[in-house]
Amino acid sequence: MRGRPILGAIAGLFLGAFVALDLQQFAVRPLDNLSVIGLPALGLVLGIAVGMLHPFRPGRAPTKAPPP
Amino acid sequence: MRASIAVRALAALGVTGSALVLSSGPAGAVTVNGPCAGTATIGKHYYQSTIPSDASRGNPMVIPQTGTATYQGATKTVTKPHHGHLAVVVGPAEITVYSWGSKNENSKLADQGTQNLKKAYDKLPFGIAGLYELKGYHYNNGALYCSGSGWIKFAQSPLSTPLGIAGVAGTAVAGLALIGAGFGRKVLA
Repeated sequence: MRGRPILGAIAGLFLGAFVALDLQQFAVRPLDNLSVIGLPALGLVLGIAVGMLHPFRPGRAPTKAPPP
Repeated sequence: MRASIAVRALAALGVTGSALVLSSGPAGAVTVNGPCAGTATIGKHYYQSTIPSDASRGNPMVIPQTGTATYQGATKTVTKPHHGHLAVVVGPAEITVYSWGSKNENSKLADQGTQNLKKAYDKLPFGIAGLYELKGYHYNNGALYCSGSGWIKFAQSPLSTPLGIAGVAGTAVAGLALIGAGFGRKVLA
């Protein structure tokens, strides 16, 4: 298994919670159930996906196609 | 103590409701249960309890750090003895920012006056900014007479409060951690 799904999950969870807090502090959206539960849940899923799919890993050099 | 009613608190922060009817509006609008009505002026803004969009979530009542709120309001019937309070909803808690109570020996139905906004800020545990729900309650002889809720926005900059700074810093740290997780180093063989 490659990737960091657990780190991604924790980071995503906290990211969602802090974004909910930011939205409330900047008077965009209050701390209602949707933002308090929904955003961290969304962050959790996003974090696990990022950790498993590791989209930011350095790409491999493209292989040359075999000569015909 | 001056005999004032629910009106006093409810109107002071604009959560008074339409008189005689149970008003209900779109989600996030001002709601009031009970026969109370009032108005409030904060700065250049004038709020009426009979207009659901006033102090609604989309158009919150802006509370500056300094200044005053001028209010007026009335109840349908005399309430005595009476008491009540206004509370800001912070997470699961309701923090009382203003309270009142008297025997109302003069049987007043209406009241008006001015409140110092800094006193409301001082009741909160730390510097506060952002969008909050405000709830108000008025009791007549121990029984709930009217209640209401509306939305207020503390005009203080979020970056000048501990909670606001923590929110921005936490977002940055969590965001960096999420990016780090996306680099995909091996964790298990």
